[in-house]
Amino acid sequence: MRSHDVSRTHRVVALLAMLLPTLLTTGCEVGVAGYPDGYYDDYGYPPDEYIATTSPVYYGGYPSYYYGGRWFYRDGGHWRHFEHEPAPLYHSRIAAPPARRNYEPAFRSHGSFSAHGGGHFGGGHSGGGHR
Amino acid sequence: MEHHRFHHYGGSTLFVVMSLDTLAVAPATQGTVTQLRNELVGSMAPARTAEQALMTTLADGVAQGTVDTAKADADASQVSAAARAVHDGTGDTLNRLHATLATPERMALADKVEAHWAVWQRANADETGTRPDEHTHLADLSDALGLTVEQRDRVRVALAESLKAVPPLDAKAVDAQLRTFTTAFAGPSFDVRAMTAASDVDARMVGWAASHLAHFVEAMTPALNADQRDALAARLREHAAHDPTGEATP
Repeated sequence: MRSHDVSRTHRVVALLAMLLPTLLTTGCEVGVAGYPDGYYDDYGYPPDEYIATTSPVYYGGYPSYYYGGRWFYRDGGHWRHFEHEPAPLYHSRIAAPPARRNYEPAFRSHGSFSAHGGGHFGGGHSGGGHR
Repeated sequence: MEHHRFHHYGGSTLFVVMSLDTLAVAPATQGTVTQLRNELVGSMAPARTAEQALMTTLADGVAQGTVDTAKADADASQVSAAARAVHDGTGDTLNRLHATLATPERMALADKVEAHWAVWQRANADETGTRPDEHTHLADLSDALGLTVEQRDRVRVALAESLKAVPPLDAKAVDAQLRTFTTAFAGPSFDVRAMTAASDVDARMVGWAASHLAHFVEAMTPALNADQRDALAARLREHAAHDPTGEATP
């Protein structure tokens, strides 16, 4: 091994040592952001209309909802989201959009929310399920 | 939102049924859950019939230009009485539903019931439409029926007077009862028959909603022209015939 390779290896090891605690705490599939009750969708968490009419995907013992580009779940009285998308939830999302249920009469069939925040109901009954 | 303005008959049981529609239960239990859902829908049938009668009374009155307030009040009372019976008749079914669902599914159902209640409260709040930018019932109907500013102001005044006859809903009591239900349902042990106050709270909630809708329509009707009355009557008849609980399976 040449000297500059040794030096580079040392730098990489030092960098890993410095980042390891951070990687261990944020690189896992854990929710790291909590939201108090009453934290409205302006701040990103799924509104009541969305929870009431959208199928969850069950993962890690919680029903999870894909909204605004994130997966949310409720832990006690607080909404949390996965900082990094768990692979099973990613595969679920790619396989089918969240199933929505529209209760309005057909002639006024429109909605206000989508999994991406804003827009129209996705419709259909695919999606959801257990992971 | 509109659904929660026109359909109240099942009270919290209707929230449960609507929650089952998007619960995404495990395939192994889907058949059982569908059967239990159908039992709940069947238990609500008399209340739904009573609500249909109220809608028809209101639609007939709107079309004629004057609502028969005595008949509408009697119909609203029937809806309330039927709602009380719904809760009393669904205890065993709800207990079996709790035993059938897995813990995460029960948590999801609890979240959904609370979400429906939150939407219901917003749908039925501030009916006077004093904030034009909000989607109040009056604001939405004003857009749908093409009310002029003068008509809208006239309705607003009439509504404020008419709704004095409707005793306010004790939303805190409903909220407390629903939270008792959802907390217990999400937990490991559950017996809805122990919730003795639930049927009374449900009946009061449904009775308030039915009476509130009747007074809303009664106050609005005199301010409408013939075309607008036809449109509102048609909307009421559509809701009388509309049965979302019969359209989905969990």
